[in-house]
Amino acid sequence: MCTMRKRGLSSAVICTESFLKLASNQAKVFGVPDLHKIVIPHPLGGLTRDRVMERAAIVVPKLAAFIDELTGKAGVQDKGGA
Amino acid sequence: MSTAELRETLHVEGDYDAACDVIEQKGWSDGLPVVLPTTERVRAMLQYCDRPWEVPIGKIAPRYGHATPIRLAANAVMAGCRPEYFPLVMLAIEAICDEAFNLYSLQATTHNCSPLVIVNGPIAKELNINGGTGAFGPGRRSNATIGRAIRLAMLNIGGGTPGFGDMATMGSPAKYTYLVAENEAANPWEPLHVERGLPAQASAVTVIGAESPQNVNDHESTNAEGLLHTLAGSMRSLGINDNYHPLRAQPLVILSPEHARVMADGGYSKLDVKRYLHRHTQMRLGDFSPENIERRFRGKYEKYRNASLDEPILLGRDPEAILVAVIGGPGKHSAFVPTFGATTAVTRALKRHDGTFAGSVEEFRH
Repeated sequence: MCTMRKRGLSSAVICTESFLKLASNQAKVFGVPDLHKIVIPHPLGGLTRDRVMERAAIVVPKLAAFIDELTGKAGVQDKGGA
Repeated sequence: MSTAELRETLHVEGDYDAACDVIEQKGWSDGLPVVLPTTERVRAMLQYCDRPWEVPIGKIAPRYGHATPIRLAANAVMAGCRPEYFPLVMLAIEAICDEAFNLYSLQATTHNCSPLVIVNGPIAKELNINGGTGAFGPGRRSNATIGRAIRLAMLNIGGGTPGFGDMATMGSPAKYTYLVAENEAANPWEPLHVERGLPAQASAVTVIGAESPQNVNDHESTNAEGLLHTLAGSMRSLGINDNYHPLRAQPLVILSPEHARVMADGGYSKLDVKRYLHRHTQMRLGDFSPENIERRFRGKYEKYRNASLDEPILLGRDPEAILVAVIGGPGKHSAFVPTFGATTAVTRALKRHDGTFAGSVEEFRH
């Protein structure tokens, strides 16, 4: 995701709340500290299909909001590559 | 050779305890007190470095911090290393930074792996590294502190801090120090570094992204087949990472000298041992839980998508994937060392900066 972002592609990473620190640290390491992160409840592994669908239901509106930001619908522009 | 100076120093008011407190507060320790990395001690460590002090020998994930000799020397001092240990610290760091080792994943994973360093060649004797009784500890300064220096570098340079860059669910005692020598004198076969392509007189490290050793007790078997039966049974395990990376896994078997001798006397070469273990550690797809079958094996690997429940699950792609070392002293205990799975063992020879094999750490001294 960081590499895609550095190449100018808008991108976001989906992670659970328990891995947000790691994701934030790695985004800094790879030079894109403001990489967009979509955070979901932990865990993701070991879930039944229904529980995975619950996670997906959390992601979808957040992803839609991110895309709205990128397209200007929410009045916020992506800052582009670092 | 470098004439670079140690430019940046940290001044701490107070005594040893105060300095240790500062180091702990800055997150520069593994939790144990450290030897203070004074300018004099770091400079003494660098007396055993034959390359520029400020040129990285690798980048340590997940921070990808530059592993310069100066930084490594500070960590080696903090770990308690004698200066003559430093060439081996540098060599092990080079090895774990090899891309094939996959250090980023080893550091950041929830699995409890840590680099196991197996030392071969004359340097093991020169530095008094234990490969015999109690090789995994405690007791020897070389085993304890060289391994600890590697771990401190992974923390302080690599950023493998628990909860931030190291997400191991429960960690491992092997994350403090994990270094042994192979017991070459008691090995009935070729040593590990020779098997992996180096001359016998070379000194080398082999790094393996491993769990802690799991003991395999067999006091009763008097022949190779009996011992191998016990070993194979101990290696068939549903929950090890190696099962989940069947095309890449390199699980390690550590044979005690007495077990290895029985196998060799029974006519088994090291490759014969690997062949037996590879054949007899096979499990069936149906041995795993239904969700592991569906979600892990069928979902991830094309070859299992429509496979029957009798499809073999191999421990390693082929017999050669199983690593075998001979370590330890008298006794009837061998060990199985599961690995992270998504990692490849790396062997590196101790060489001078000009690329020639080094016969002694004294060749690095200046």
